[in-house]
Amino acid sequence: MILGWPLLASGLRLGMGAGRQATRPVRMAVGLGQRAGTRIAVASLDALLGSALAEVSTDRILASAWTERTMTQALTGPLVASAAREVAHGAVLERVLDEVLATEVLDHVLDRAERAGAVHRLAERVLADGIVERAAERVLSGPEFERLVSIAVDSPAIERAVARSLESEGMERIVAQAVDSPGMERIVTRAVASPGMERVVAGVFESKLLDDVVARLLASPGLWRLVDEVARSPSVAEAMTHQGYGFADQVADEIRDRSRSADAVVERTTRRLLRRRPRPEPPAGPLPNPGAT
Amino acid sequence: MSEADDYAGFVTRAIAFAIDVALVDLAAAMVGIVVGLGISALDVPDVVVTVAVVAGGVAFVAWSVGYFAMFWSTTGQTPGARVMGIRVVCARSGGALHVRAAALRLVGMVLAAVPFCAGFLLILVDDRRRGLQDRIARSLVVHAPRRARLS
Repeated sequence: MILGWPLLASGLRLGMGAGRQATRPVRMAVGLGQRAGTRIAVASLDALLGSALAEVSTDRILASAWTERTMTQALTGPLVASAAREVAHGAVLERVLDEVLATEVLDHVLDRAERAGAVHRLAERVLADGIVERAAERVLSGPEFERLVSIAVDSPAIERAVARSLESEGMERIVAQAVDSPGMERIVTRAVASPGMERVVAGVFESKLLDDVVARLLASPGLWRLVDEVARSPSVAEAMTHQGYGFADQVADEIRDRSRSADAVVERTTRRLLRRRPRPEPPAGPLPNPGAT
Repeated sequence: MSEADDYAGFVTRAIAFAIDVALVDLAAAMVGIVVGLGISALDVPDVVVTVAVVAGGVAFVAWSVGYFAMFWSTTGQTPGARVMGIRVVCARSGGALHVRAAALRLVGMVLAAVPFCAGFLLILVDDRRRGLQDRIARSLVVHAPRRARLS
């Protein structure tokens, strides 16, 4: 019995080592497959973004009444609401978000789309055709969107997912890339200048949804914690101090500057009249001054 | 050299002193007017008026000494010095003056004024811009750092 245990353990170790060696080629093959898959996906994306077919297809899809009908039906139907509820309460969303942000695939996709100009072209078309405007009007006028927002706002899983994605390096990278791109600037300029956007924004402000969102925000203790943190920050304190700098301080500063110049002039003149050498510069470093600390 | 790294000069100190004297005199004048009005409303003998005048003089001296000595020995800045951004400090410690040194400095100011203000003119020729009062009380007058300005 005593001799049997080491023998068994050695046998197990030997078996596990042999198993690891045997599965090594398989693991390598899987890794190669994953890398090749990513490369193929990116190449396909390049080809898709560069092709005229994609552009024409997008146009047709966006312009068709079928798309609009489908969107409306999807929003009014029970499927979207139940799917949203599932997503909001499940941990799947968090895991997917983590994976997407951790890999650089999304970076690649954004980068390629930006370089191909597809995002810009699509945004211009969407804005020019009034698709955004129509969709936004439809969404805001119905109760469906409000329902979806309520589900999202009440969900702790979504709250966690948003918090994690905001803290992740991946999101920082993606946002920085998007903000730095000239295409984004053109899209924003165009969107802001369009009359359709103006009507959409007006619609948002008039909708009951905004009131609800504001009311929920004001009721949440998190917002007030954030406000407290901001109010305590050194930069805000400094800004408040600067606010107290008024006209009297400006006048006093001016008088001080002029009196210092006058000090120097009077002193120089007196010393010249008395044939004394000019006053030496004070030693380097601060002079005795308790107020300076 | 930054603005806090220099001793305050003659003109700056003269303006600060003028502001302080104006404040001291204004307060004294206000009190004098109120007391004078009160006495004029009553039919008091001349001797009482004389006593009131003497008491007023003593109070004025006490008020002046208290004003300067208190500010020099606490913050190192009188209101006038505050306006001009200067501060009186002890030459040895760099801190505020002791009450006795503050009183001594005030005596030094009186002595400096006696020979046609020649004691004050020493500020113009001294390397550390010290007047007679500073030499007596072993004090220095330096520029205080100013508050941040809005850009």
